[in-house]
Amino acid sequence: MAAVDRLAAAQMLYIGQNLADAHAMVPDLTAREIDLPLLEAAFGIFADWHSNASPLVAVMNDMNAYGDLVLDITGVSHLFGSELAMLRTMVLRLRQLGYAADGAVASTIGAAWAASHFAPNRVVAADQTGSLLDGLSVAALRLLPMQIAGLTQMGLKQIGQLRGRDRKGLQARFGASLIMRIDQAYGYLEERMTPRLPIAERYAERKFPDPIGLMDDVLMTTHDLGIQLGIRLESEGLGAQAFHLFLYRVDHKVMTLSVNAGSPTREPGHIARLFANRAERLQGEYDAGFGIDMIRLAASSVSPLEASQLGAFSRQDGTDLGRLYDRMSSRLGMFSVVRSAFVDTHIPERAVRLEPVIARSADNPASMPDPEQERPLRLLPMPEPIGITAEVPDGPPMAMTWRRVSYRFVKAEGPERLNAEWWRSGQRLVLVPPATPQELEELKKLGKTPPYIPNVPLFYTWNAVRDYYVAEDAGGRRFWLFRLGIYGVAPNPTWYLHGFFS
Amino acid sequence: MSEVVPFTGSPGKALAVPPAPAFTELVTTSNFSFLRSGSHPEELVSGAMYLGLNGVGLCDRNSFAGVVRGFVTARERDERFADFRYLVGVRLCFADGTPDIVAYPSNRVAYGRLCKLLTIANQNGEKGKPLLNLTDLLASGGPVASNAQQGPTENFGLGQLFILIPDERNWPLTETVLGALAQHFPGNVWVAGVARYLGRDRARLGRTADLGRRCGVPMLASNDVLYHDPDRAILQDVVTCIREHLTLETAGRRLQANAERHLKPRDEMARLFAEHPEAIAQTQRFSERIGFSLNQLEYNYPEETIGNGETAQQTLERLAWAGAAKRFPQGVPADIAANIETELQLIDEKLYAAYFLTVHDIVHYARYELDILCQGRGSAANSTVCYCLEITEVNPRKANLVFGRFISTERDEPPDIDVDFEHERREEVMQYVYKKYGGKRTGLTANVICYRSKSAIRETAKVFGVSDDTITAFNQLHWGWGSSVDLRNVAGIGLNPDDPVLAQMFEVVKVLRSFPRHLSQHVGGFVITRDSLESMVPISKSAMETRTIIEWNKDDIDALKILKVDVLALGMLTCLQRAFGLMETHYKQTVKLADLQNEEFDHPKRAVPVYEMIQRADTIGVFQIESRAQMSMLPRLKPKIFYDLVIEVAIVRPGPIQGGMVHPYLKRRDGTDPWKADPDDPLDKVLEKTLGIPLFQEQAMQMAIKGAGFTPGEADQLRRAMAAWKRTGRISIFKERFINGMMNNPKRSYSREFAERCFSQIEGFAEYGFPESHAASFALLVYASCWLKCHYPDVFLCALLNSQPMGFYAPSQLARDAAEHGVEIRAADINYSGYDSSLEEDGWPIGEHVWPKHAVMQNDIRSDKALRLGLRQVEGLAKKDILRIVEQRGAGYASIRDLWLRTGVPVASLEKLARADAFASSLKLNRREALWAVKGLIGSHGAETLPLFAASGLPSALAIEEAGNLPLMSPGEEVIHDYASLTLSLKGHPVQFMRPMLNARGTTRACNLSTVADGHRIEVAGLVLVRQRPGTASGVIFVTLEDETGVANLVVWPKLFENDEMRRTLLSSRMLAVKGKVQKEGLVIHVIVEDMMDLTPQLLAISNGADIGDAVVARADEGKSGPPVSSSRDRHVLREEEMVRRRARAALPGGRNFH
Repeated sequence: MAAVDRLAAAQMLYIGQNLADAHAMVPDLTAREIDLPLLEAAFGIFADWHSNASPLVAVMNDMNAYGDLVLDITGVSHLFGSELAMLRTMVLRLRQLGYAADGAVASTIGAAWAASHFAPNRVVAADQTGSLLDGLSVAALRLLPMQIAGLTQMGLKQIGQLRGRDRKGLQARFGASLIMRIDQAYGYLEERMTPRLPIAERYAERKFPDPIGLMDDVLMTTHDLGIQLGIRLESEGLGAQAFHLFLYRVDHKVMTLSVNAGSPTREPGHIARLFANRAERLQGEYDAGFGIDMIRLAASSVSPLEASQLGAFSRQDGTDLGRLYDRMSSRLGMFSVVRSAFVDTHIPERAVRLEPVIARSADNPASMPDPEQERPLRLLPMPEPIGITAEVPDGPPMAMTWRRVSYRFVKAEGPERLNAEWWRSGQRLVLVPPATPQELEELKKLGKTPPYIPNVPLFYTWNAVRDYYVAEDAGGRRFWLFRLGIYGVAPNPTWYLHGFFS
Repeated sequence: MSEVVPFTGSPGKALAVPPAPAFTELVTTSNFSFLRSGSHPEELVSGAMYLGLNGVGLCDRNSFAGVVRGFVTARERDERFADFRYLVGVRLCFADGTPDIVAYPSNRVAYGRLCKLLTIANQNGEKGKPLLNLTDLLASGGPVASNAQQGPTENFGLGQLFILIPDERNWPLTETVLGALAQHFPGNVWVAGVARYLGRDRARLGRTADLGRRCGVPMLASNDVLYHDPDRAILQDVVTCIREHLTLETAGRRLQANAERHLKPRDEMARLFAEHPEAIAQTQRFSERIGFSLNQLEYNYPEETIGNGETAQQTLERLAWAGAAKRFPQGVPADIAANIETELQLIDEKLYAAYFLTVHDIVHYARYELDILCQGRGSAANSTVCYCLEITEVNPRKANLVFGRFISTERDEPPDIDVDFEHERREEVMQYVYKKYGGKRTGLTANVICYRSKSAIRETAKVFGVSDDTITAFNQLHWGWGSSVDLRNVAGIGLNPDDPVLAQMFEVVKVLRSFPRHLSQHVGGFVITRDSLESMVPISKSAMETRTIIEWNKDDIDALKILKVDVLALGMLTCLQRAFGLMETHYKQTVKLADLQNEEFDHPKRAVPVYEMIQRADTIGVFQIESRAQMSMLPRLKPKIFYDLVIEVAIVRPGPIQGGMVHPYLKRRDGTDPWKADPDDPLDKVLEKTLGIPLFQEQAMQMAIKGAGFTPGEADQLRRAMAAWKRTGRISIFKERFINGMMNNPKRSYSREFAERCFSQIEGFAEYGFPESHAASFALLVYASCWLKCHYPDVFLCALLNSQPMGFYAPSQLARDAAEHGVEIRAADINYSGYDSSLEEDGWPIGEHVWPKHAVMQNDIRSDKALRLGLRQVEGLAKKDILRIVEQRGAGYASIRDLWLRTGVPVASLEKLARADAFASSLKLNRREALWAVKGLIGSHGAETLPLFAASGLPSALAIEEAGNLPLMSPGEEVIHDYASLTLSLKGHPVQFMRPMLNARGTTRACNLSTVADGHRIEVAGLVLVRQRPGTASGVIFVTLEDETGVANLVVWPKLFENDEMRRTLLSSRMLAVKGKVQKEGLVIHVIVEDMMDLTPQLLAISNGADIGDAVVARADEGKSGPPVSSSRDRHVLREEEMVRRRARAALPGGRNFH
């Protein structure tokens, strides 16, 4: 388990525990799969939000890539009245939002971390740092589990016990990082934080002396910024797949608009068009408020993109297929522009599926159709029931009635027998003969309960088998037909037309 | 495009079917082609019979591993299928892309050639993956290209009949191969036509027939069978996924498109091959030409002549009589001589002399050349000849054993002798066997590893795409006991039993269980032949370079009546041998197994203290009778003589317990239900020695023979049928016969009710019965180990510790038990300990230190030594490091640095020593100081980093260690650390640190249990030592708790165990408090559990918390101080506490689980 909430923690569940154990302890536990990258990214955005308290916000990833925030509040705390008030405001605000949050203010990052986790919600004055740390567990020093275990073994369980000791001796036994952590906590060694905000290294921005508000102005500026950004990317030999437009409003709110390209690009026209297409769909949500005083266009998901000539005669207006995909997708929506992809299965109607062109999966050679297996050019959207004349049990069809029209076949080939994918049936199997009444009787005598039979319908193989035939009528039309169910074993075999070869 | 196929009939029974032509299925793959088939060989054979086929041939992929199973099924067919033929073949699968070729040997010689070919393939490939090329088969006379060492080889294809399976994706290659085959083996080649239902079957069959015509090869109809029943296609899909590491979702077209590759009846085959009737007829022509059957495998045993002109029989007779003279120095008694006479005659008749000589030779070599303790058992070991040959040690006369027909002439079953050797030295014996007979003539039998519930669930769940966490949870459902699969249980882990995926999965598991998974080697069953073994069965490589394995397991060998010698390992023999050595060195007393037995027989008085100890169930550490179930039986059975031990060993077994024999026997024994044998009753004669209750396997068989008039052969069949009664319905036939036989017994007619009771009694023996001869051999070891424990607990403990791992109890319990018997145990120390634990002369007077509960033994304990724990007790310490430390020790090490520099032992090892507190006695460094010093050493090898010192060898003057000045460990912490690194502590018991709390709870100490009145409700608490659920005691679980004063024995009824919470508590806790009712039966005290509570957290908190868990302290601080207190504890704090808890938890014994 990677994270537990308050209730779970109250049940003595803990991070790092095996889920199965946890289930055993709390049978009605709700467990969700964690998407760490997503969580980390989300925590990053959450961190940004704190920039309203202090401009210097960082995510500390010494212990976890999420969960620990550090703010440099130098020169800010007076806005809240005092350091303690600031701490209180921030922690309470988070708690009101439903987060379990703790915090501490201290003169070093290390001491603040230690206090917030092991003696939380206090302001540690610079002259108290030492005395506070001395009494805390060595785990409060952000040490590696191995270091903690080693120190515990020696009986050195509190930070204070380390302070008086010979540093060389400690370093030799527990590594230089222990000394570093001690020094950082006590402030003998300065620790720097890496503020989050300037994340997008590649961006272009423009400030406006007078706030702008019209969408068209925004888009025009975007195009200009696109040119600046494109030049920058080109000079580095890079292209980007994601672009973000930050619209800083005068009322201290930030509106962001992100678009994705199908493949890395740096072409200003293309970038601007992507935003333009997007903007058309966002018309209703766009709200410039009291105006926008700064626009920033940033690029992410950068990857190397060689400079290439597009061809002497090519018109650079997006005739290229990839660009068409991007444009159509951004205009019509990602799921409206699809292509067909092959699926590795025996079941004909599942052998092809549709997927968005801009999120296409890699072609898998294993999924390609088998050239040995004859498949029709066209499949009906749904197999249609037909009337048929054919021999029992698996003779080929001789005539059919489809949509009230009769066809006589002159040639037929088959059958090709395809079993249903039983694991998709949602039905139970019986592979071992169920207990006879006598056996049940005997079990009862022994005081044992008979085996449980799940309340799920039974799977009948023979009802789900299809026999496919290719049949040709006098006019040379070739049909693909199948019979569902096998004569003699299935109760009621029925015939369907599934496709056409011509 | 095809025309309409003429109508021929339907698989349904509605229409009159013209008599269909005879058909034999010749291409079948069983699940011995691992993970490539959905049916057992037995199922394929019986399936073919019931479908009315004329025969079936089994051909697994490059292996004969499954053929004997099919053979046995065919051999035991009923009369209706008298004409059914079972053929043995192999599907040769090539590494070079050649299409598969099925080969059937037409005679015994050709079969031998195929075995050799497969042996070569096994040697060329990796283990379990034979490598075969077409050239191996086609090369005739010349050297085989792929394995030059093999030298010139014979023409493996000679005498074989071949069926080529066309590669339908590569017709040109198929034609080339077929042409080559036809040219090499004219008239012996067929090509298989298969109606696969993949579309264009008609064209495909036509093409195959044409191809055959062009090459002059007839087409033969087959269905290329993978399973006997269409439903098993599902299993086929699952095993395919397991094999290819796929899930059903992703497997796609790697699974078969349809379920057509099952056995098909004759009329259906005729319909499918309506255009090629000749192909059906060819199957008959093919099988007519095969003259080979597995019963032709005439087994030839090495002659074992010793080159002095004697025949094996003469040698055996000479050795037997010489041995008799040695065994009976006062002259061989007449009845013994008569016994020997008859036995020798029987051996002569059955030509088993050589076999006895082999065993005799191995035993003698081991005993006199290698000085390894060993002892034989098994049906043939139950003979006077074996006693005289010193194969067994139990004196048949004195032990009052029935040494009758030790080989059943009518059953014609090969004699069976298992020999147990010291477990650590068995390898030497095995190497001797290989050396003597050579790798070409000797092979170990295989062990067929089958899917068991747990592995079947795991693999199937993976195939169904179930997450790893859930799989782990599944396995915890079956935690420890490998219990049956019941869907209902999944509710216990929060899953829905009505979930269709689970329903499918568990149904598949039911079948997959018992599927063979791979072959591994049997523990020690040797098959030895006079000439080449590889022409009898393919031989494969084993993980160990020097060993070879054959493809058949012991049942197969049995079925083919092939002799094997079992070279087995037994920990207790190692222990006894060590103990005898210690007796010699420290007490100047030579002890031998036979001497102990003689003493017991000849001077019954001297054995009294030993039996008294046994009657008190004071048997921790001894052989066999140390388990809880055995221990609770002892005070009731009250063994007084050797034969009582034989019964004791045999009675606490699944057979007698399930058969309900235990209570009746005990009643008769203590006189509450007196019994006297009726001299006219044939059954009473059989059961005389066991007071009318059958306890041994032989008796069950004898009851069928004497009571129900079975022939010995039938009795044996009955035994086998019982072992397999779940799979086949044959048992009911035998039951009727048995009951009728009993009711119509000529000497005395029994009532039906009585007969039925007898039958259900012997049913229990089917799988679990214990033969008397085994029990007798074991009983001797029981007596020997009890003798040691009684008189020399120090020697006994020392030998036990040095033979670990073995037995039922962990070192801490063994040490504790010895301490209770007064033995002084000294801590492991770098300056005093050897590798093994050892005895030191200046022990304290033991009599004064015997605990009150063993006070009666005070005068019987003869020990006067102290035990010094060996360094091998230190967890994870490499043997070579220990040996180095001992070797370089000289006058002792002055400091850790000194030790480091002189031995060059890695720092990691020194750390382990420090953790084990091995510097405390001689260097006066406590655990932490030692650890501090060790961690301060630079580099990993002292001698490497400081070569100067290594050269001058005098660095110790420099070794001034900085004083650690570290906080002292609390006593509780010390004890926990002792457990972690030594698995035992001499400083105390973890529970003693909880006593104040337990006193507050009103918990009874284990030592005070005897003062509690029967029926009172009390609470006991302690570490969980053992949880045992004998498969027999109808689900009752025996648990042993240990506190600082002794052990408490708990009984948990299944009802309580079914409660989820109770089960979890019982299985997961290391320290348990239990409320329940005291039940006393003689000296045995049980607590019948009514409620339990996991005290592990309290134990951890008390023995470390106050000390280690500063995190806990910090939490307390949090509560006191002012700022807002968050309702949940910080996750870092939680994690920290958890780490502490887990470290401590890992240190405590988890309790051993037994079935």
